[in-house]
Amino acid sequence: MRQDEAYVVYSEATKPGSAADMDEFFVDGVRRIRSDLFRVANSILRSPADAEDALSESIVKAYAKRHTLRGREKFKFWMMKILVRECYALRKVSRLVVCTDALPDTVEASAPPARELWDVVAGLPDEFRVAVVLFYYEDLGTKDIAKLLRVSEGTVKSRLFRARERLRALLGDDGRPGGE
Amino acid sequence: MMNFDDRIKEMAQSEPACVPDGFGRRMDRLADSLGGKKERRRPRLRGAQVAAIAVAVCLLAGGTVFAQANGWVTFGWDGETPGEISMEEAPADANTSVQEMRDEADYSGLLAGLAQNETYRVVESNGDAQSSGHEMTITSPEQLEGVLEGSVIPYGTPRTLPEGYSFNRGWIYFGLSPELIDPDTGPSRTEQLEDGRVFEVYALPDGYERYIEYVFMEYVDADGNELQFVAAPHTKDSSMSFGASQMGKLEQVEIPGYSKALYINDESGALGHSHLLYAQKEMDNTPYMDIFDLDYANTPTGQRDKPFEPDYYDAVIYSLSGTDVSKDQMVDIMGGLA
Repeated sequence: MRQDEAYVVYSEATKPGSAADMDEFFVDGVRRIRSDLFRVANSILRSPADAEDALSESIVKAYAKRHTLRGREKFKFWMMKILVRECYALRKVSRLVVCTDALPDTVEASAPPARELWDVVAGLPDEFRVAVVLFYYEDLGTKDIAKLLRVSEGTVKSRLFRARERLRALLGDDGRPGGE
Repeated sequence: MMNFDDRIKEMAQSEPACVPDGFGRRMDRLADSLGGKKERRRPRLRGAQVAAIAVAVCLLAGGTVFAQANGWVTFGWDGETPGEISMEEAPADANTSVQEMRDEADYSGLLAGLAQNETYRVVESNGDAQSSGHEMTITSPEQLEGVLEGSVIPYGTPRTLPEGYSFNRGWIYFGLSPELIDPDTGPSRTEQLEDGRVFEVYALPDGYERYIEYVFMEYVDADGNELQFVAAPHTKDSSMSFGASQMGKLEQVEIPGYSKALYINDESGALGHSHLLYAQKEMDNTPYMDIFDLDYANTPTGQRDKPFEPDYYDAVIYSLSGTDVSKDQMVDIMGGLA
């Protein structure tokens, strides 16, 4: 799996090392998963600019806390946890600023065109979209998603169930875009 | 044969993440810079990336902005920094989300039977669980002043109002989130209301009331015209962006005691109110509970396994908005905050 591929790389460097080793591990790790992290951030913030901003802040914050990472094999989940907090913080604070939540879709349209599945996923309501991205794209289990989103596992299952119904309606039973 | 979930996962994981142009280059620069970087104090409100989007708009310094028709413009404190722009109509719900932050749920039923000596936070869990704040309703300016006495952030509140205006309602939010809660223990209670919304109730730790992250006060006149006041902590070097329809007029104003102030007059209705005044007041660097640090500093049982490292703010952002109020009146109110 894509996620495990990243983990394999990290587990090669699991031995306790020097601060320099950790720095190198951190930077390499971020390089490998940054696109995945961006997608998660974008699913929460629905703005490529905000998502990149949140990701940048998360990387800086995570780097400052890198000594708190317990187990390099958990790097991706650890980064994702920091990122999700950052995204929700940014979204909350941005509500003090005029219209940052409600920027027109054409702003997003300035990003490269999305793929078909992403087109469908991006149109889901907030609470479904984030769960879908973490479950289907990031291959996280419901327990881990619950930890990331700070909701109960039952809530995650409920969101996924409802999201699945919507996806099925939009994609068809065979999961192909355009299906009915 | 693959089931539906497997098919979707296969599609999702074969689909590369769609990232903006230059994303990798910017991330590389950030990664390269990490070695010599000192710890940041606070996330920026809005990214520098807002300026990266090409903007074909004429922003006239120090005065009126009229860009291309039917668009939406964002800008910084200087009123000149171009941000995102759309050639679409400004969205119908483009006004500030102050109202959205007010959860009108009646929590009393949710809290019935829980321990009386605890304070609880209520989170709507089937909505945006992370952005629901723990709020306190304010019933008078005097009550607000009493609450603010314990705040680590020295918020000012309006002392002078335009003739005919009086307090209508208010509330404050505390700087807390589910990060303070042990995720494995979960909420004290989960309730589903008749309308289908699900709420989770968490007990709050001692001292939460010192960390007020948001103050909202609303005043009205006899005709029902609103004047709304918002205050929130900030870092003075953080970027911040504002938005208006392209009918909007911007003006930088100077208010004694404030480092930055921006007045917006936008009659389009897109902002909810046609007159808005934002101002930043600097203050001493003030340690503040960093709810995100707590997530990493605490064990699941709430016992800290390393010293708590607070975050810092060195400014407060204030905003005033109304329709039947002038720029000069708002400047007077802002100048008289205490």
